[in-house]
Amino acid sequence: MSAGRILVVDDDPQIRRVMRMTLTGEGYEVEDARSGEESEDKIRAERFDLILLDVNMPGMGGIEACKNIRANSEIPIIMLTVRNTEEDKVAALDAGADDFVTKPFGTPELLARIRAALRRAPLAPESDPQKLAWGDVEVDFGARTVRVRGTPTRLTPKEFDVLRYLVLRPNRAIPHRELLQAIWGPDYGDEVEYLRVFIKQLRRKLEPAPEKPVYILTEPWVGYRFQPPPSL
Amino acid sequence: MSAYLGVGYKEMQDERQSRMAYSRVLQGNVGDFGHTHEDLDDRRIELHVIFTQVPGTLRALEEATTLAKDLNARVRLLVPQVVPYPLDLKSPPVLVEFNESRFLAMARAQSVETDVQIYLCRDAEALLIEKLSSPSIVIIGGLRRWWPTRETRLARKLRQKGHHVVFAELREAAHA
Repeated sequence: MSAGRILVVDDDPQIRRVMRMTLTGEGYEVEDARSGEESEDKIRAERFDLILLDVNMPGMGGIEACKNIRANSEIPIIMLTVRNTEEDKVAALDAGADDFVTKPFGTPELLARIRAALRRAPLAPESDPQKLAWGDVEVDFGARTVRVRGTPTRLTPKEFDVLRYLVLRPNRAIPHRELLQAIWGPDYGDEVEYLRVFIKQLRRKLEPAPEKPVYILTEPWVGYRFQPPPSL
Repeated sequence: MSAYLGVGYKEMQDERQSRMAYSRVLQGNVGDFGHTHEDLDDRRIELHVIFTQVPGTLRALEEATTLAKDLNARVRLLVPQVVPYPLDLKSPPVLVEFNESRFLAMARAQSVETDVQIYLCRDAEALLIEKLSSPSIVIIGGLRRWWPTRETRLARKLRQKGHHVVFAELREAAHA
């Protein structure tokens, strides 16, 4: 069992790699994001117990990202920065950060601060629904199981992730690129044919008539949309 | 007139049959690859990699392996070996046994279940269109240029026939 899920948000790939190695070695599950924008997408899609957020990032900076995250979530946030002035600390704490670590920092100090933040904030209940049902389909996100017409249907991990991403954003046209990057990672984006294959498999497994889908719809030239039945 | 039509039809049938004289499936790489029984029960899909040229095919196999792992699928390498008209269809210029060992080596290097199907034929495109049941998942590797290449043309034709075609782009350096 993992000690907690941590999202590392930093534009520096080396820091992300080091953090991943260090934290994984301590038993944490680690996800990373290159920017504030990407971190927001990840937080919407997955549950985390703590966020390590760099202050200085191109695009949406750490302070702004922290404010946005705090507007919707109580996840503990530890800010990382090279600046050590009083104003920076005040800005970070006022934006909603729980703690503040100045680079360069020692691994034992960072780990201690993570443990302290997790102690103060007991693991939050999952904000996403645990189970969802529509039509003949029942999905248990916690157990990662799917039943269609009462029969267990096996989805591969990637198929499940694609389904989860779509289902948690009902009625929204998800662009190909967004879906690819959310599931396969930031290096993907142009592999639309990949998505077609996975969506075809999902339709085959979940739709009453895969050739005439009613739940997972194609938005031509855009992407895919999950359309739940009106009763949901 | 009807007699003429009758003869024409028979000739067409003969020609159709002469497109392919030999087909053999070689078990390249069989193993459980960490699959559970549930996975194996559910593993109905097959990814078809089409042999074009060696670098492109290796790239396509690489892509197919990634996809196969994510989809619990198996891979089949389709090798349409064209026999020129002066030769008998059953006597290809390259020995079938030589090709078999070559493609088996390719298949055995993969980390997912992969087998090889070799065809001797006159027209590779026509054979693929005839043999692939629509809609299949097909992976073709090759260089992407601004002009249509043999591989991109084949991909387009198969898409038109309703197949899901993944084009595994070969980087210039890998081809050189």
